[in-house]
Amino acid sequence: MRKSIIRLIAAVAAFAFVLPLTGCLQPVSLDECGFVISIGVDRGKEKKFYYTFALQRPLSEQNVKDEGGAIALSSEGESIFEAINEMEGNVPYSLNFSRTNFLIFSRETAEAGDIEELVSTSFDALKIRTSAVILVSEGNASEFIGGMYANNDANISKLQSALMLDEKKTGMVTVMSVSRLLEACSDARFDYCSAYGVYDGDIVTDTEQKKSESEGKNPLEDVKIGDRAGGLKSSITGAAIFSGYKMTGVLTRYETMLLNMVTGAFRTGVVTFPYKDGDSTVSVLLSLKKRSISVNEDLTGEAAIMLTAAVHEKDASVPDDEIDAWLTGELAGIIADDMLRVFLKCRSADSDAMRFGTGAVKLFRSAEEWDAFSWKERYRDFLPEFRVTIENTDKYLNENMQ
Amino acid sequence: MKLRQGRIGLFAGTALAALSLFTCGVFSIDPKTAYANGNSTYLSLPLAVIISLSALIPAMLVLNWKRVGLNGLFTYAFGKVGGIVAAVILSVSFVWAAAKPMTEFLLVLTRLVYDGVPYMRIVLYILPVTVFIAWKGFESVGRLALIFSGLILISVAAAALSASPEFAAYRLYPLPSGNADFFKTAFSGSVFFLPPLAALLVNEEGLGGVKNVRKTLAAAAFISAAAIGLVQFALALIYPHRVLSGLLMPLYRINFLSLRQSYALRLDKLFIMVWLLGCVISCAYLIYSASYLLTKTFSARDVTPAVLTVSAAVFFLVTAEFSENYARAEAVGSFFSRFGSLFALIPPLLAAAVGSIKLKKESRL
Amino acid sequence: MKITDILGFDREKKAFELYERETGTPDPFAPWRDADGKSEEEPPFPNSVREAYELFEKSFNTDKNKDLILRRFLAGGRRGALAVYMNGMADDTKVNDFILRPLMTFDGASISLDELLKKTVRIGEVRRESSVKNVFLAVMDGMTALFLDGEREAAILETHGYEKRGIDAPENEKVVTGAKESFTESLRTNITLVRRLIHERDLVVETELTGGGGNTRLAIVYRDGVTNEALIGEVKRRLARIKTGGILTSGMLGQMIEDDKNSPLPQILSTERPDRAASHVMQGSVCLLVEGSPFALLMPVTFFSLMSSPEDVYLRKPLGTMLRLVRYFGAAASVLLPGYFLSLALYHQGILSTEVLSTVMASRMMVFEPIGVEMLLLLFIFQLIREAGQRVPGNIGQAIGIIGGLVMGQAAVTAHLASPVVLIIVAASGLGNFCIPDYSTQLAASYLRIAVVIAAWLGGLLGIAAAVLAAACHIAGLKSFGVPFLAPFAPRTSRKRPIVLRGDIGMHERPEDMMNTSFDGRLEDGE
Repeated sequence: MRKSIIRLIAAVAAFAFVLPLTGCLQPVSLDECGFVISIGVDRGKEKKFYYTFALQRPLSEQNVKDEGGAIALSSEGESIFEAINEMEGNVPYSLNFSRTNFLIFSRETAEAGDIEELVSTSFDALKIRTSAVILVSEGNASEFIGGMYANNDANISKLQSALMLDEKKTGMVTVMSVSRLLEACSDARFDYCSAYGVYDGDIVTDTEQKKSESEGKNPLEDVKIGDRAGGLKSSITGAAIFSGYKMTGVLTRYETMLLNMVTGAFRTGVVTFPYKDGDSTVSVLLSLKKRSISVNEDLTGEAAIMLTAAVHEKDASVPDDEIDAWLTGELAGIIADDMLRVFLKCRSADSDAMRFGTGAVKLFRSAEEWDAFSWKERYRDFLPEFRVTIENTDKYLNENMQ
Repeated sequence: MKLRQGRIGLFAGTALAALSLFTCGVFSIDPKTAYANGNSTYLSLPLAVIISLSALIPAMLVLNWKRVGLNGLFTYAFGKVGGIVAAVILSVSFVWAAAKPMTEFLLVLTRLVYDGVPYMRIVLYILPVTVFIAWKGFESVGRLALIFSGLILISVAAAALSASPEFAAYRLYPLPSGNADFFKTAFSGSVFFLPPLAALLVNEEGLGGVKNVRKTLAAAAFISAAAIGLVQFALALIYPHRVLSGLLMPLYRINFLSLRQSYALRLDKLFIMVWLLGCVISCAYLIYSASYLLTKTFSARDVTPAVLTVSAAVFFLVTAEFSENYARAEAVGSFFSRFGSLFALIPPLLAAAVGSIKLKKESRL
Repeated sequence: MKITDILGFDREKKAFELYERETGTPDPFAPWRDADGKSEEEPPFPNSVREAYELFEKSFNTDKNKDLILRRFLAGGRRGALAVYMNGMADDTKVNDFILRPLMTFDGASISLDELLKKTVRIGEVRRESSVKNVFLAVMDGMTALFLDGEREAAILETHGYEKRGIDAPENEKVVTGAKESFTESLRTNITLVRRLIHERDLVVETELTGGGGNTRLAIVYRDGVTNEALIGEVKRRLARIKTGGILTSGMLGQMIEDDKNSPLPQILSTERPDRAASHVMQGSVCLLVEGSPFALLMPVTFFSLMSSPEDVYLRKPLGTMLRLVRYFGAAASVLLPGYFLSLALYHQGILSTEVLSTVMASRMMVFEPIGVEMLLLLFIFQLIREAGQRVPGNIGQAIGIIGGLVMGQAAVTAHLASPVVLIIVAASGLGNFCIPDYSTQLAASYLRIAVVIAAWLGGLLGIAAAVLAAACHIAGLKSFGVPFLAPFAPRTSRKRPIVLRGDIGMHERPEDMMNTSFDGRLEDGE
């Protein structure tokens, strides 16, 4: 037989031999997957944890039934894998975590430090991206998840971007990912803080308003003065601060804003301050211009924050010619004092949420020296000075317009 | 003779060597040792490239005078048997440099991309292609490197730049102190950088002579040193050293920090496949170079049996990490991490020294 | 047979290289060194008209073969003569009016072949032939052979008069702005079409016969002194190697002289446009024109010349650039898009956005077959519609494309045989495939696409990476008459004009560096 034919037969035989060994790499078609967008973790009744998974619905099913964009699955388990096993036995698809964006922990589980168990053992196995955001909920995480999705919008991941928009627009929300948590806990240069939210079942959402309209009812008749109407039932009320993996305190939205200013995460936000005697108020648009922190060897330090301010609204009784002095003088002092208050709150909760550790590390030339320094313990004695300067951007405009 | 050397130009040669150096520099280093005491890799690894280049200069000078290939130099300096021993030792370093980045990629693919799939299935997608490319010869490998080097560079740059909003200077601290550890990393890093550079000397015929090899080596070394330095610097700005020491292939995860929900920021699996192309080309290049060196040393007329043999050795090393021989593989790995640079360094340096002495004696006579 | 025989250790086939280190020119039309040097024995030249008559009767079986006309007459009324021609191939009018009548009525003193050719035969192209084999070939080609009693040579007179197709517009290489002429089946016409475009003294057209029986007449067109001589010699050497009789088309000839016959990609460019052929010849390529085939073969060719269209140079630079970018993007999408989508759908769903995931999940809700089968089925149907549209002539063929696409696509979605998203992917990929100007390359791309889909089905992005790398390695190692297939990108050559983008028109004035022409040398001589 010709050499070329023998070679061809040998090549085909080798290919036929190798091909069954390769085989497929265990594909799972996307229509056989349930894509988990959010995971909620609560304390379980009979088992350790109660997990809630919010899944994205396929679009046409939602169009046909008009029941909303999310499906929630819940199950108990000693670990997330046990809960997944139980759930997958009862649904015609396998859970896919590659699109998981939110991990929501109840306050109880966060304060117990249960985040560590989920994050350190499960992520690589579940293929959850470490860009997923951690949230702590005041009440049950499963309730909070239910309040995150509006029934009239099929695309639930777009609704989740409301959190990001809140951060950008108001600066009163802190959004941090799992990778930051891992960095904080392994490197000990700072402590983690996550968004802190609450579920309010009394809020009349957009969908409920539409439904009651179609029933011929005034949709807002049950809404009292002081209650919020419209939007989602779940909302962010501040930040949860951590020491390692454990949650140790809660900050309000204003306190979160100050924290963001010191960490440099603040962009812009409008805050209403009392003017001098407290009877009048001024709403000021603040933007972060520059920020620096430093730590000295004697455990003192400084946080220098430069802000720009523009007055959005003020009471008529507030004189125009005093605004500039008030902004650059008194208001700067108020903010600096409030920052110190927030720092002390964090310190008492053993949380370096303001990230002074990232300044402390610059004092050292080697990793051994830094490890020996033990910033976590030294932080308890650390006391920085907060220096806030405010630049009135209105002043320039007003002068030039005259 | 069926040596499948062919001829490639300076662009292709530079792309080939630079790609191989980059693959080794970014994907082969052991994170535990590299980041144990702070992060100095953005300085020490480029230095390792320059040290490796400098170590080959004596051999290049002698080859320029003597006008033979590297195997010819070995035979000239050490005699026939000594030349064979030197060629085999150098080939072992090529095999190791080929296997290490491939092992890292395999680890990432089995643990992070195709979880639950037996490793052998993934190996059987990669290794036959590698062997095929090595078998096609130096010309094909060089041209493939030229074709894909731009794409690989762009994907690495895209991955690093898309993570740039997360860069923070505090992660660089503590800064490298230039102590003994720093230089130790620089020298031991040459275990990965010497083989791709020495392989160019082995293939000097395919590049059209030692003069071209000199230009190619210099260009490849400086380009890859800059690229490796920049990538390691980007990683240093993204992850502090303690996090880096526990990460498998940190460049793969560089986009995981981004909170923005954009298609462009979820392309890590696509990027790693592009980088895998570079790893396969680098591996094929080193397999071919080792095969060519052995074929010329043993005066065989066909490079195919050597390609198959060297590929089998690479295959064995790559799969050893995943088999029950894992402990032995680790032992071999730690041996090479410490002494592997000697395998790559000693044969050409010693041959250059002995060769230059002999040349001087001959010229006096 | 030993294992070593199978694995290697044999002598390497002589590979032709176009690099500077190659020296010497192979003898044109020399037999291949391994070939059997024996050639068919030629009958002796007939001494008389009677012998010639009997020779033709016997050789052409004139009792069965009535096409051959053997006309005996007396030249000048005194000397025996024989005119031989093929009915239908030779022009009867020319034979009667310009050969037979003048010869019969010749009244000169000396009736010799020389005298007759100088004074009476009113035909432009005349040559003398002493080889019987060449006389036979000439008669079969439509020439008239004239024998005279006692002469040791025959006169071959040009009397072509067969029916041939007129010059039409190109069917496969349509351009919006540009020439609308295409080659025909007549070799003479095709040569004329090229000569009309190239007014250079160095343009050489060598017409020869090739094939085992010398049955195929072809013309080798090149620029003497510009085209690399080693290339010309190699082309001739490969043509001389052909022993197969009965070559009818340029496609078959091209396959016989290619470097790698097993490669799906062509290493010879086949074109029906004279302007394209002329452009390549000006740049130093060799052009083969084959009798009976309306396609010219151009060599060497690279991947980038297969991807370029004549329209590129007819348009302005920005428009030509955009067109080329769209074309390359379309070609890449045609090969990679279905496989990429399949790999994301099966293995790497996290890359897709939630909206796409949700839409695809919903669209596949009632589709019963796996997504890989669905993709392959749609690709197969697309190929069926394409082939059916090409085979059916005229307007019906166009309608089949529309009906097949719209109706079948819609029906498939309604019957839950396919999902809309996958249908769109396949359609986009098909359109991208049509962007490729060269038909053979289009087909190669469409089959490579199927290989990529299967690789994606088996291994996701890893499978695609392996398939792409293997294909790229094959292409990188491919050569076309010594020129690497991916030149001038890999290897890089000295070249001013961009590879993918359309450069300035002025950049086309010099041949490419990879062609190793003598152009630069001639410029230095002051020409």
